[in-house]
Amino acid sequence: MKHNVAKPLMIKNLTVVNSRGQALLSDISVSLKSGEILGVTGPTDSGKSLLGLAALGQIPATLRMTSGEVRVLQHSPFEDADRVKGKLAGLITQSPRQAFHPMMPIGKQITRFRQHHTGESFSSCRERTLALMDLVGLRDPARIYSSFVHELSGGMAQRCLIALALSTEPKLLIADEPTSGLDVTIQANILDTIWRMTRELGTSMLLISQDRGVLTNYADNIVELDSGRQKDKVRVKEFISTGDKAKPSPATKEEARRSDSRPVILAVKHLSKTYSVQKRAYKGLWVRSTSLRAVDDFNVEIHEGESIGLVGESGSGKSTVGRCLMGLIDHDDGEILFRGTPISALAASEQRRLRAKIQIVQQDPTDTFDPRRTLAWSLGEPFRIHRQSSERQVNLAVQELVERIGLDTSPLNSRPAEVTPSNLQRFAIARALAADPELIILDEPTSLLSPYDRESLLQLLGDLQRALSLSYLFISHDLHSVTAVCERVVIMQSGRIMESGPTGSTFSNPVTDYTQKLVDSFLDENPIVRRVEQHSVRSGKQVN
Amino acid sequence: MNRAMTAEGSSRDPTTLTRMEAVAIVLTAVPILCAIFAPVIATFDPLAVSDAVSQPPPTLRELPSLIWGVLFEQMPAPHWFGSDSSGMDVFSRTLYAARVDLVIAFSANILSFIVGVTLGVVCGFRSNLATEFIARIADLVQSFPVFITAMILVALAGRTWGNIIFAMSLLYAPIYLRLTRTEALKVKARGFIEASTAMGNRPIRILYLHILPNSLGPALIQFSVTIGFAILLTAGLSFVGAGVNPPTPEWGAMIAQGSTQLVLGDWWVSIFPGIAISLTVFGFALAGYALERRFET
Repeated sequence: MKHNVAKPLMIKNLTVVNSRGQALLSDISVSLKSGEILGVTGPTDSGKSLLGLAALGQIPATLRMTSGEVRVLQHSPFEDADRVKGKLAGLITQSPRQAFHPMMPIGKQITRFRQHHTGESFSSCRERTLALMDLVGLRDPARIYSSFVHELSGGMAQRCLIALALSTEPKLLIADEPTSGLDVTIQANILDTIWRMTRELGTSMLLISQDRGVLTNYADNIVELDSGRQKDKVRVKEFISTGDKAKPSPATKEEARRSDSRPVILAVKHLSKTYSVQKRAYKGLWVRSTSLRAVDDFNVEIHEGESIGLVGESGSGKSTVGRCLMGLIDHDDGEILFRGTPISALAASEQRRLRAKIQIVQQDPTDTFDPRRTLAWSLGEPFRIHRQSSERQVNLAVQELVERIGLDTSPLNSRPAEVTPSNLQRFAIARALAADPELIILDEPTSLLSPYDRESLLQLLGDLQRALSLSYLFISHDLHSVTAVCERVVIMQSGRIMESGPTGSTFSNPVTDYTQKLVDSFLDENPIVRRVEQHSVRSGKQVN
Repeated sequence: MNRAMTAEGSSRDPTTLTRMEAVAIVLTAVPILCAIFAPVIATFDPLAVSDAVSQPPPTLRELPSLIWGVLFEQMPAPHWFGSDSSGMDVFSRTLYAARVDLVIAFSANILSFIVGVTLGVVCGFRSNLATEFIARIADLVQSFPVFITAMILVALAGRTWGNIIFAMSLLYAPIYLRLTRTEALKVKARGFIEASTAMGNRPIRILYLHILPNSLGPALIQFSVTIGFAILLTAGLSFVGAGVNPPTPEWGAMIAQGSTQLVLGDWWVSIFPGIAISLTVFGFALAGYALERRFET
């Protein structure tokens, strides 16, 4: 035994290779002091998750650890697995629902887990579980104790998983993208909870996330990984300043006022859409239809060359608005006027021609191109439909378009699977432009991209708008992107418009509580005051 | 989870064949080649009756000298697989029978593939009363026992090749319909369909340019498996006397004809067509399985 104080986690010169001998992690050395929160970040496939698993001694069977050592409080998780896993080190994963057994009540699982590791009696473990469930912010712990995992929302399941991981009072917590599937408001709330709990129990944490906002607001120090190699550990303050360079210049707010004089491209009046939702009634004996009002009395006017942000949580109806405008789904009530012409009054062929003037860029770039066609073919589709030109002319037009936007033409002859997501998203924008649109609906175009790609895509969108005087309807929950691109913003909740106005003033002086909550829970990548330093988090005040 | 880790198991060079794929290719190619080159390989007219009734095939000990004799000493070819009770050559008949069985199986499958895939992709793309009705009819047809239904249909319509093919394609079309419909339903919800709708494509263009090519996969894999079933069904129909008319050489009919002689010890009349059916059906089923393994994502 060494004489110095045992570190909660010490990884020394860790190298992990796959069966082809490719190093997924090479020569990683990381150590955590007691109570430290270490953020781990890096692009997809950089080995972040693997590092988290290695800390628990859970390297997948197809991979091999060739050198290095891992110690959790002096114990090796490989040799002393039962002592380390769960007891000394807890794990919080990205998909909480998969972490629980589907057929055993949640509370019982947590209680059994604690019982196994501590050897205490079931009833005392049960007491502790209920107390813990209360601590992680679950209302009505008794009810949730006997619930099954499918009965809980994503946020509740994540809280239960936190309770499970902390039930044995571990000295180390590994949180692998703990909130990436959740809404912004819930995300901040859950991270607050994790942070508060680790402070109370004196737990150290390895916080793995691609989201810079999460790390800068909660971590003490940050390590960046890139294809299995580690960059130097930096203090969070330094990380904030280095992240500043790529920030795009926000749109000037005066434009918002000037835009009123420009002609209106699209006017939406009293748009409503109701979905019928089928629910099982009488213990699943039969199905009962209930209606869900996804969009309720939605009004907006989009001027030429203007960008409007549409902000809200998932389920707020913002994507439904976009789909109604595209004519992908029919709306129940209200009118959509394109340059003064009501779209629904036109004949089908006229509608199709007109709708080409409104294009969409979708959230998932990997799903937006036909997997069997080359990008050149897909990009040529609008030309083929609307201009009836020969295949050679189409190819030339595509080439010219791609060059004009300033993209690399080399991936044009590849299929979507061979191109990176961020490039695909650029080509998706190019395809939208090929139809010669006046308005582009951007449905969360950046949410699946890495932070660096996100910045460059926002830059591209800004440049295109200035060059082609396009209008954007930017649907997003990321206030950072919205601020960078949009002049005006519309905030939606449960299908209704809560608030709208110029971006800057809406976010700096919110009128409604809901907007305030959105702004409060937004994790800025370069915060002036880090979230953990704010009073509300320290005192454990809940946002919702 | 790390993508590099999960891709581990499926990484392999697409140009190399696995052992299973090689076996499947051989087992499907042999009957097809036999059918095509039957006139070249066959030693007798498959329908020619002779006085050499119920002759056993040459024993293994006689075989080398016989092969030598035929190849280099211009000896007349013996009945390699023996002869049946009418004196017809079992070897030549087994070869020619491949023509009958494969032609029926392939025509029935191609017909049902075209009908099933077309209806399936339409039913998946547009859901209204009509397409829903078609889908339910398909379910109904699938709930009948295949063999008995085929037997009744052929018995009612008459024992011609055309009727056998028609009956079989009626029974197999729902398989393709359901597979393609499910796939089309999945493809319809994907982003690139929305994107191409947004571009102003007409629905019919979206249907044949995007939905059809992307929903064909499972039906193509099923094709190979169903060929095997169809061969079995053709043979089965002939075995019970509801198939092609004797003395047309056909595996099932040959087994049926030989089955009465089995008790007399004349095993060769039934065994050789039996082996042919087994290997061919196994080959096509294996090919289907190999295709599925290769293209599964």
